[in-house]
Amino acid sequence: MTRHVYIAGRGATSAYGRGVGALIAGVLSGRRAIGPRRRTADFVAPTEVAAEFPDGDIAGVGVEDLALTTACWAAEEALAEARFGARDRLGLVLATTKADLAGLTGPGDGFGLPARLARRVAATLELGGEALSVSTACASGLSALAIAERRLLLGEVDAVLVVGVDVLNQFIVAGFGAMYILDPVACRPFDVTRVGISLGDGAGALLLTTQRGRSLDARISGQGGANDAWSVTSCHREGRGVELAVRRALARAGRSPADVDLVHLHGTGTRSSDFSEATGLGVVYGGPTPPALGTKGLTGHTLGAAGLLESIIALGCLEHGRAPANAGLAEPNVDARLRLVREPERLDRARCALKISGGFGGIQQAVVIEV
Amino acid sequence: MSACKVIAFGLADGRGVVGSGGIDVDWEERGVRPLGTGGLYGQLFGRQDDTYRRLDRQSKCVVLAVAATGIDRLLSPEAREGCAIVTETLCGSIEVDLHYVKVLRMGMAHGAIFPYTLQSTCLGDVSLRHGLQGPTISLSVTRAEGGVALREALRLIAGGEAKHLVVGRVNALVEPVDDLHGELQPQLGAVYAVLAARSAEEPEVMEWPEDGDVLRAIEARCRPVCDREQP
Repeated sequence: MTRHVYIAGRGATSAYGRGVGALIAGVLSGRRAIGPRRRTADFVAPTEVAAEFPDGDIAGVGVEDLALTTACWAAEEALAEARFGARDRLGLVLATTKADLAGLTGPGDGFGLPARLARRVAATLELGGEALSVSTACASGLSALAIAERRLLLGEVDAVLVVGVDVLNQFIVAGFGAMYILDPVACRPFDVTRVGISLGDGAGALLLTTQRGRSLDARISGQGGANDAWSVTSCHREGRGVELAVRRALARAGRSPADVDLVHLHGTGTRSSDFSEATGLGVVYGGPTPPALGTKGLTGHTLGAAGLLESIIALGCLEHGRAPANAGLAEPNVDARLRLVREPERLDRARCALKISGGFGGIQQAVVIEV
Repeated sequence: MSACKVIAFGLADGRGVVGSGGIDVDWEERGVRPLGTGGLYGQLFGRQDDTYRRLDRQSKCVVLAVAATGIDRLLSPEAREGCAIVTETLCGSIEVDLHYVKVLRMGMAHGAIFPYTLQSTCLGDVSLRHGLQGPTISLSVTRAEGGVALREALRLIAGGEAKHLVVGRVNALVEPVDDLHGELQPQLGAVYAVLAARSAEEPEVMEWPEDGDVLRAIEARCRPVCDREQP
């Protein structure tokens, strides 16, 4: 029997606040959640802005507990939407870059090790299944979805909770600052004036299952991974890794490029990444792509959470049949075949979305989402 | 019997680097510090490499172990384009993290080492050296979870995502860390296997172990217990 991977529940905590509703409403409104730095204001970095969790939403949560707490909020929302109760056998795949730095930057035992945080998330949620963790830089979220998809398709499990989380801290903010890839103001992905990224807090969760009855009528129909094999910090000039990841994901989904109605881009705002992504997609399509948008100009770059949050956004766009404009985009200067959404638009057809993420180490990952 | 076979292996540690690609080097005999130098790397693997010497210990371990498999001669460029890499680590990038935090406490941040605070960056160093363009996965594990990378690798092959892949584990931590769980003990080494579907044309270089723990079998073969116990 052919198995499919359905999305049964979603959860999010973002700079728009708690809940998927706040995230989707915020993104579709086009209102940027990037603003003056507050919680991270004391960290020295060449930017004035970040997309931080709203103060009111995290009131009473200690900074050291932000990653665990927001990850669990997102997970609980996904479990509730799915009305999923059998936690004793439910496994976890956690995606993060450096979510829990306790032990490195202060007391504690997180040590920036994703497995430590996965163990805490699973214990807090009282999950009885295997708790795995993956860290593939900013591709971590989609890598986690791919790991879950493999287990489900091979029939090893019938449900997996996938959670992605990263919370801004001095370690991350100063690091990107020292690499000179932070935009001093809100980022402008794909624009001729772009100079870098804007960072953001985020936690996202998807409950995946092979049982259609539990689903939202949405599924992960394919995924593909690749590596640029070019540089550890910059992206392949011709977008080779993006091209391979997209072709592999579409092939696994049994889809052609023409079947895609919306592309949700990685769209960081760095010159190298945006050029590479646009060119890679241009090669796949050989002509104009479907409507393409990135949302890091709205939510900030949420690192290990980005793949999860942006998959939720892509699904939200399909459900609403709408795509917001690329925030901060006035004059594109990437491969012209990439049809960037310039004004909010209604999608002619809204059944299939392609989501792309990339990360340091040349890692590229794509996922196909269908409703 | 597994659906896969081991077509190459490599190991790098504080003692030397050894692999089925024909490498067996002892650092002490060569008169170099563990993990060698950029010049020695170039001599051993027949390539000039200006960046090796700047790598952190985790990256050097992975780069050495994979090079020792002889993957460049074993697989064609086309095969390497589809070759995946899956790794697991307990220590992650903790050595780089500790150094980075030390510099950060002095009011600075080090842009060149920041990318290496991510445990997956070292896989990019392997991919670009050997042209590996398949899926790239870096798993974080606790002490109790050995074999996670191998199981993921077998899924990639079973699901048709890769015909060949590099799978292994790496841990690099020289100074002890005050860890409540006691898991972060000093250790230095990487062990990697190149796997192929059993139907692939490349010959098997070692039998699939009965317990399925390929990485432990490679360690046992490269570093017999009597050797490992010597001071």
